[in-house]
Amino acid sequence: MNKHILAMCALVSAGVYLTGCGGNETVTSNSPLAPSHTSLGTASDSHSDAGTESVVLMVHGMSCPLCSSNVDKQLLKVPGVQDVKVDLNTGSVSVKVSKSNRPTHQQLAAAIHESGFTLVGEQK
Amino acid sequence: MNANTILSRYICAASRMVCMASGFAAFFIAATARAQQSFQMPSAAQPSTGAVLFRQTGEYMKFGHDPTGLDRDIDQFKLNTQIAFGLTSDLTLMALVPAYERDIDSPQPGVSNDRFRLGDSHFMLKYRFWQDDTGAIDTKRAGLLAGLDVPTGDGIGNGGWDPMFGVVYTEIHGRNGINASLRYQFNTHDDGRTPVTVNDGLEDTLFVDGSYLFRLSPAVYDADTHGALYAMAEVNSTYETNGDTEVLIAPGLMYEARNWVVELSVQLPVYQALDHRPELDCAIGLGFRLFF
Repeated sequence: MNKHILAMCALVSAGVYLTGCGGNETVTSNSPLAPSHTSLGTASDSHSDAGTESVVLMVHGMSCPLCSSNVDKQLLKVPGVQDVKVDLNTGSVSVKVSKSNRPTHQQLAAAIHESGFTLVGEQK
Repeated sequence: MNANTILSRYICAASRMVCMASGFAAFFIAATARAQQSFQMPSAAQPSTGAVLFRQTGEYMKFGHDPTGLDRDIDQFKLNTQIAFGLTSDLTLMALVPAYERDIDSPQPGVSNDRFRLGDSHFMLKYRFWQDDTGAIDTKRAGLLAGLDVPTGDGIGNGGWDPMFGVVYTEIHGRNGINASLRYQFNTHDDGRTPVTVNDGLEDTLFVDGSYLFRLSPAVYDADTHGALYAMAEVNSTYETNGDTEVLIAPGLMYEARNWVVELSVQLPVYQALDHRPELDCAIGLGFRLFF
């Protein structure tokens, strides 16, 4: 029996180690290979910097934190997308895009589709 | 056939009907109610295209009341390693490799043993054929399941190439989520060993599962939300073609962050009518998932 308990402890420890006891994931990424960044900010947080502008997508069906990560990963694969912020409560996805390499609406819509959710609108 | 036999068969059949009816009821209630994936059963949630979900679970199970004559008491630790890959947004490929440490104690000669070994691996495709995202955090999804057990087991599992087909439904509304699934496993091989768990023998198995998840915290998502804590309650029922019927409940807790999940579940018997394998006394499982 002791070995069962030890095995369970090892499993939990491995999980905590691998996840790094996350919860404060505030890393900003601009690469699809970087850790997912999905700050749950609001659409009103978005602003334009020199060389970038924000597009706010309204998305339905993102019911959990893991769901928002799916959206984040797919959008960051689109050329020109530099940052993504998801507000689960309102379904707004703020996408910071490059002005010089601005992705098309179709590219952003396709990324939302690939993430498994429904795009219901876009604000500029 | 005496009166007692007739009565016991009647009670047995009635119990099975109640069991099956409750399983189907859970399925159809789910179709009208509102989930994230719970511990024991599948959901209609899927990783996005190209994404990978790694899941590791460990489960301690204790069995007793062996009706087979072997009078076995069994302590089992099961380690499931699972990877799900999003082929498309609607199609997921999943592979699961179980490993067991099964400690069997029996007064019968040659039955007791205790060693660590692999079980039969399981591969599954999940295709989401219907989806209705009704609000920012509200969704309804249904998927088809097609699976195959592969005989990788080393003295555990039935050693056959066993297909499985099923359907799964998930609905989430606000803080409430429901999953329901119906699966049928065709078992094609009997390795001659007396079964310990479901799917160990030649008998086909119908699985009827339902679960309810409630988001304990946060009550409302906000800009600082990094994860969510859920309470889970599952009903897992099986019916085997040899007549063995089992209904289990599994309360649990799950914490879901954006890239990982930690889960805890306890499984207890509600109803067991088993003539070919020992009864489950209790099970406790821990797991984590990583999303890449």
